[in-house]
Amino acid sequence: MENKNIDPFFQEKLKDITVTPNPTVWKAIRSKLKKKKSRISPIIWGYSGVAAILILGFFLFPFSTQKKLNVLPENHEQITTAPKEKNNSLNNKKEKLINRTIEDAFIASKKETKKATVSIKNTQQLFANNAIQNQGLKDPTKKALGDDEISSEKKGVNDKITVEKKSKKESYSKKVVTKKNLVDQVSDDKKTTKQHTKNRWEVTPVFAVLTSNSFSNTSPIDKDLSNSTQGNTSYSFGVQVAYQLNKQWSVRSGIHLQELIYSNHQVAIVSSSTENASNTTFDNGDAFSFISRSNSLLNTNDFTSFSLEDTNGEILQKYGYLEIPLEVEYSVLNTKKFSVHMIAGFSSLFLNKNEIQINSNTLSISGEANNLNTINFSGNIGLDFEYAFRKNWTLNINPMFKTQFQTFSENANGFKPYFIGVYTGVKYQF
Amino acid sequence: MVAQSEVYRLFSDKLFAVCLKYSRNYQEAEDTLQDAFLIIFDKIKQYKNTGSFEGWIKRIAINTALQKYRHKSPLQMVSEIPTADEVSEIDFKNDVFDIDFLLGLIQQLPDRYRLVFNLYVLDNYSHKEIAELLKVSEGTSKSNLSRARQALRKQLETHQKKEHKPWKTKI
Repeated sequence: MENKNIDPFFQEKLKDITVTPNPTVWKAIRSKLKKKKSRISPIIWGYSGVAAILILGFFLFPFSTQKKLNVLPENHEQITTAPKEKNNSLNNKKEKLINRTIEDAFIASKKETKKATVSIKNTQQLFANNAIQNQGLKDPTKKALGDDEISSEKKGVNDKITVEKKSKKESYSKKVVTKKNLVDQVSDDKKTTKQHTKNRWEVTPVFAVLTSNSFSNTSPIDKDLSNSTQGNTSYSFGVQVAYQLNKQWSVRSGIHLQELIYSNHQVAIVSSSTENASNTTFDNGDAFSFISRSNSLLNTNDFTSFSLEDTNGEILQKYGYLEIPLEVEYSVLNTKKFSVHMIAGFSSLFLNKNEIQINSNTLSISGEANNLNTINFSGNIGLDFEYAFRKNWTLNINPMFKTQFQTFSENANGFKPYFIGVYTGVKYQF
Repeated sequence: MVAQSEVYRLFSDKLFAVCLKYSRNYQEAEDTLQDAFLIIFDKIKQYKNTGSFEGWIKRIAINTALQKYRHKSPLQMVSEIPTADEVSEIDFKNDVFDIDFLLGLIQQLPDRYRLVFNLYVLDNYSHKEIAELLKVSEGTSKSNLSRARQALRKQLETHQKKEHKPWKTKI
């Protein structure tokens, strides 16, 4: 007979008991975790974003440019889907292994509990071995997990419970290292999941300094201006919106206003009322042709049928675009604070400014080029350097090389413009 | 999912025992265990490695169990008059009582008696902490504990009188 207070009696009997739950509990948890992960399908969001931009483009573009539009997004699609599929198949394989381990473990556990006095040691050793094989965890302390001994084990509530009172706690401290690793792993899993589900959108107001130039030494204004066309510095500003498809790949678009400036110096300006030799139209209806003095010594006798206005004029050509890019970004370096991305894509350029200015000592007249397409395109490649200075805020510098296609509607004397822009902005992720 | 399954494997047995003690029955304990693990996996990055991980997840399991009674069904109304018998000493044969039987006794207690008894006796919460957790006064917590002890002692005595040999669970 023992005379005991009720509290220590219950403490002794119930404080450190363990009860194995039904395997269906883990199955339910697992399915809920899976549902949580797959609530937002990133690939669908990515495709939706691209599709929305494409639809917008189709409405805005003339039909003659559809062929080009159809080609580039297809390539883009292939780029973004390939790594996803690979990841999914790897994840599936991993999960199958884990599922098998859990099920094996529970079956083993069930068998064990039928034997009233059999130790749980073997089962736990099986768990530990399986876990090491599947996860590559080499932590030797895991073996300590099987050291617990069962002092009593009986069938319990609803014929399902096995209650095991553990008499030893010495393995607890050995578990700590393993637990910490597990916490880190689960936390990493969560982080990865959250990266895929949160902060996928990025918006960046950007400003860029552009330098224009040409692959050829010709001029789109006049064939006699070869070797004299210089690209000048100009500016671009706008807003970029990006969507992160996965850890490596993003797709981005936006809207930019940009201006490109070319100039020719030391130009002889020749007016003609009968012939328009250059690709220009001037406000007052005059026609001019232009000759670069850097090419040859000017001989006034060459212009008997024309009127030589000035021998030292300057031509300034400005054309501006509303640019809508569609680009993919691939992350090549990604640390906590600093990341580098490679960028490739194309832009649709909608002409919104077309000016030509002729200035000389005796002449100042403005007009426009008559061979510029109202819509053209550029192929874009570049790098994006990002520095995260605050949570969700990133400073980025983005040098881009963009070469233009279908810029001119008529003979542009083989002028092939390109421009280099250093885009900078502050990116906000949400 | 690998890490989650490993955490579950390591701690589910201990947490299920906690859930059984705080729940009315086996089914409810399973639901609580499931909810507790979902919360653990969701909040795991909030664990700072400073205290015991087992202690952290156990607190989550207890809070999950308590939350069920706060939201789903109001705690049963019980008298708050403190009883004279606070000693609750009992004279019994230790081996007469089986763990399943004792678990069953706790599960059959009125909700608030069960929660207070578990928190105070088995999980070392103070009356002040219990009062905050259950949103009752400290006096109510003490009263509920006293009544839980009385009810349990009565059940133990009744059972001991009936049984002259160790109690067996019906299979």
